[in-house]
Amino acid sequence: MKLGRAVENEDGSVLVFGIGLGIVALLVLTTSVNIATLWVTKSKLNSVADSVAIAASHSIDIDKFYLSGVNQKVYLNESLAKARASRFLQKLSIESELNSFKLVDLTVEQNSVTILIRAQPRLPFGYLVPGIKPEIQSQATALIKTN
Amino acid sequence: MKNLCRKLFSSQGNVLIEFTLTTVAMFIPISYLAVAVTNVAAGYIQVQDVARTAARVMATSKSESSGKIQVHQIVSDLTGDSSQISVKISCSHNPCLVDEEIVIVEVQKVIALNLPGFTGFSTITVRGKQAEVVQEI
Repeated sequence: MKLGRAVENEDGSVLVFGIGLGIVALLVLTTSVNIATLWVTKSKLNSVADSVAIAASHSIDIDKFYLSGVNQKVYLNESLAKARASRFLQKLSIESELNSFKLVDLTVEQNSVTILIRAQPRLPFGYLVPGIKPEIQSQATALIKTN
Repeated sequence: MKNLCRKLFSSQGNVLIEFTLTTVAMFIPISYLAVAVTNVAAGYIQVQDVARTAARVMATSKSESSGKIQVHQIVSDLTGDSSQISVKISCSHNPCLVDEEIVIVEVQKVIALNLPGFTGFSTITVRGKQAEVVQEI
């Protein structure tokens, strides 16, 4: 009987409602900050991928270059491109700025080099979807041409 | 008279008023904060893009002095208002434009948060940094 009266009584209902709304508001706010961090990390990663691709794209295969001459298509040397890319990343010391940074793939096709990199964003509130660690990927291609 | 008293002391419609007041009190500050967060993120992305372009310009320029002039030109072209922006150019080697060395361009911008004055947060500085390798073929 007492329980029924307590349930029907509206005293204090605004407090409960306010607390609920406050929790929802906090969730909205923290999620929006985290999503903004994802954008920012994506932008940063795009810049890194771009500069790594450009650094690797100057790995001209000198032997082929001397054989074919400047009027033909320039060929890139894959192992040289990889070495240049990793040397550039070492100089950048990007690991200190991005979590779990990884050069996933570097592909050389004739005169172009494609870079795929991955990192985890540093979310200020530590979560986005509980239980899932978001990863951001970025890809860039650089092409070298002779006139 | 009796009817008026009953209406005054009745609880009907109270929930609607309470809901409106509580929601307004919560969501107005949240809207301000969301706009501020968006401004900061947009500003950061802008300075990052500007830094990337500027670093590329510097790394491919013919000389250090002409590169610096071109960088300042490109920064003011891309941002429109260069008064809120500062640019710092550094190199991993002296002289700057040497093969295999790195040029670093750091762009800082002061962003207005548009939050009410009593919060004490009116501006924030965002920074974009980009490194490019110098290559001579």
